[in-house]
Amino acid sequence: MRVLVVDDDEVSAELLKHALEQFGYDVTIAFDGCEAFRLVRTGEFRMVVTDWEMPEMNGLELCRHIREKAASGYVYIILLTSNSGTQNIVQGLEAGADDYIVKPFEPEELSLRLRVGQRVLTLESRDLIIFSLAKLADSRDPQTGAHLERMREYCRILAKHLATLPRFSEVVDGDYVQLIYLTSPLHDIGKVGIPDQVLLKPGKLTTEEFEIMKQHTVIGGETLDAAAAAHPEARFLKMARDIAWTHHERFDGSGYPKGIQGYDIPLSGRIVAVADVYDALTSSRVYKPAYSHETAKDIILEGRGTHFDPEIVDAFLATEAQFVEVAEQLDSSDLFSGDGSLLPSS
Amino acid sequence: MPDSAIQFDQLLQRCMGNVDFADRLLTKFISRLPGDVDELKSSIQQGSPDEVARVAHRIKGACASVAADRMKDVAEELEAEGRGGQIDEPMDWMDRIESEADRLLTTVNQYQLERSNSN
Repeated sequence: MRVLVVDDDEVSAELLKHALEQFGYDVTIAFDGCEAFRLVRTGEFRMVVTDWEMPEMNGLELCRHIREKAASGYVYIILLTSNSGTQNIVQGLEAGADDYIVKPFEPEELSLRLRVGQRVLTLESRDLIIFSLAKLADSRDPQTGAHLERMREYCRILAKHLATLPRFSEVVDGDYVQLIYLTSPLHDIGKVGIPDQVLLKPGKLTTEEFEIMKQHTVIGGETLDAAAAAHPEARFLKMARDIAWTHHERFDGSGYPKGIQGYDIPLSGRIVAVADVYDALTSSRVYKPAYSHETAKDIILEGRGTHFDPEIVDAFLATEAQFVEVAEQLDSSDLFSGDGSLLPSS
Repeated sequence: MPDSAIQFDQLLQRCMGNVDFADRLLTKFISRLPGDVDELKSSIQQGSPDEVARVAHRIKGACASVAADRMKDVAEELEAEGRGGQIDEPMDWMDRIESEADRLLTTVNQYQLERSNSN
């Protein structure tokens, strides 16, 4: 992994470079903040170890610049400085540093701190991999436009609202909100296994074709079942699996693939069901125009207690203004605008 | 305050036991020290506490890296004075800095001479 060392003192920079190279890092030195920021903007560095006091742009300003302007991915920043004391540490972390080490460094400690940084960056990579997989599935059905982006925003809105309700507070916390935001784009991953003539058919599906289409929940569910079994510690895989299996189940048991009902349907599946249907209704398809928010809302209200969990519908009603806002902001026409909107914003 | 101008065991630890690298690092450090000390003395003479704090901070960092703890302590005290906005007893400070810098240079020169004799 490449690490950018930033220090105006050549001796300190060389010492740090030598230690990091012994730990297997590929190290580049910048002698001031401006040069460091230029290098970070190349997108080639995800880990920065910087001094605080430097001429031109100091370490705190560098942190702020990276947080404001570097856009190619998260950059993990360690402030390595002889400015000790709680007040300085707080100031450094507030400027955007992820970690703070007081000079002189101990090689073993530095190595461990860098490993923490690598773990954080790996988590971000996980987010990107998940989203890439979902986009791959989605790419087979290009008519759905920015469906995934809107879907996960809707899921986040609903989950955040549920988190404020006493009945859900034990289950839905900030971590749950983040997980559903992360995993809901995988709901249709099973579509990779549906033949083109069914998946891309412009008109209405025959009964037989619909049966084939329904299999996307099984294909996706079984795929993620296997992944979750292989990595039992990964909560996000369990939630992704639940969503893939159950997002077409209905509260009254009339859905598919298993026909489970009520609270046997995992909460994540009940949330995604509302988000998915709302987006399908308010988006245009080859076989139908986009419905207005009011029409979509009426249809969802009709399904309260039959198709949908009544409490999730209530959450939808409480947050409908946010749904409208997301639908307007993430219009399908913006999908290929190249503005970075496809990247996770978590 | 430690007796030796440099804690060689600590320096070697930071250099991951690489004696040649420690030697090169010390050479670089020593080559820069006189210039840094002159800059510090000059800022004291000019009565510029901010500049004193800035230069002292830089020296402190370099000294901390090579485990030159005595000089680091002096630089740290001086940095605190500078940040306080006033340098009391400037002549005493200049004497202390010069004395510690001489001691440091002697220690490193002696170390390097012993190294070259043993090779």
